[in-house]
Amino acid sequence: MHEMAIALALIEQTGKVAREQNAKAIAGITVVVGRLSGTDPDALRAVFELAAEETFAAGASLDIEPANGRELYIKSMDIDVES
Amino acid sequence: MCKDCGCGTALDRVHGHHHDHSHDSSHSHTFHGSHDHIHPHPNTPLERKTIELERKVLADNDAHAEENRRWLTAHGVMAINLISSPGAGKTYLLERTLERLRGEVSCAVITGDQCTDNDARRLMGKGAEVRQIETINSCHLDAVRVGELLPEVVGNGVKLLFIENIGNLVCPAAFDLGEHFKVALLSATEGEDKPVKYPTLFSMAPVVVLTKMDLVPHLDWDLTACRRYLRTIRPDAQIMELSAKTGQGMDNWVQYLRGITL
Repeated sequence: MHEMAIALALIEQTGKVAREQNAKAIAGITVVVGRLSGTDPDALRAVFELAAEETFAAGASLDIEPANGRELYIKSMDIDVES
Repeated sequence: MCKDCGCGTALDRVHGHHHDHSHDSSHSHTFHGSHDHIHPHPNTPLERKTIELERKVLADNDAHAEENRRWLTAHGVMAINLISSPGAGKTYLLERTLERLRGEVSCAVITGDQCTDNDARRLMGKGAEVRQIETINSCHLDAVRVGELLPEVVGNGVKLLFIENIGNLVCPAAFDLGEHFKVALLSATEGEDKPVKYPTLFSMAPVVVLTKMDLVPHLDWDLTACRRYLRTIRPDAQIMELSAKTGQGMDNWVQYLRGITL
């Protein structure tokens, strides 16, 4: 069960982008999780909210798109910025 | 998070709300979480923006791994990451391997376990520099922890670095440590269909060592089926059968290791 490590890495990566973009918050993250990535989508969903506490991604939605290979990447993220 | 009322949880921290509150019951408090971001003023209009990323989740680990690999290559060290389920015989194989290569090919070992330095103690005194990583609650080694140990474990003249991963067929496969390649071990006491049950690891390992072959006559274990399952997952896998206990197949394995040094 290494999904917590995956969730923390996910939050770290998206947090960097959010800071670069002067975002106020991350509203949603879309990740692609392949069947051979060694990552269980349900387990990732289960730990994501906890891992996101007190970070840019707190309260963000997590969309997981399935794939067939070793894919494990962040496809896109929605951020809130001051208009 | 306040453990009495649950305030301060992710759900409670929706943006733009107030943080201080009191309770009807016995306590009041201010929000005591720390933030790495600024909350928007309620009057500031926010705009939602989608950013296309296409970035690996483990990009940081992969970057450290790449750095480790460059460092190892620059120092003339071939590094292999040994992965198997617990009890497949990684440590025993390494013990016999170090004994055979002693005085001929200079070796080093980084061995990982959740707890204890039992493996490191078993591997010491065989001419190789050995370091143990205790991961405590983690199910895998990562590139940062391995990278921190490289300068001290890989001294002058070391040609082969064995990284003995945590016994686990799932999680270690996801983390590149900076090795040159992965070697999967599969023992005769495990099901011959392990490769198809755990395809992630077996698809990533160009070399598979079948261990405890001395036990095969006592088991209902089908070598032909095992090889077929392995080929299904990875047609080009190099498969070696051995018994570190009896020495069967060890010449072949040791000869193979001599051949991969940089």
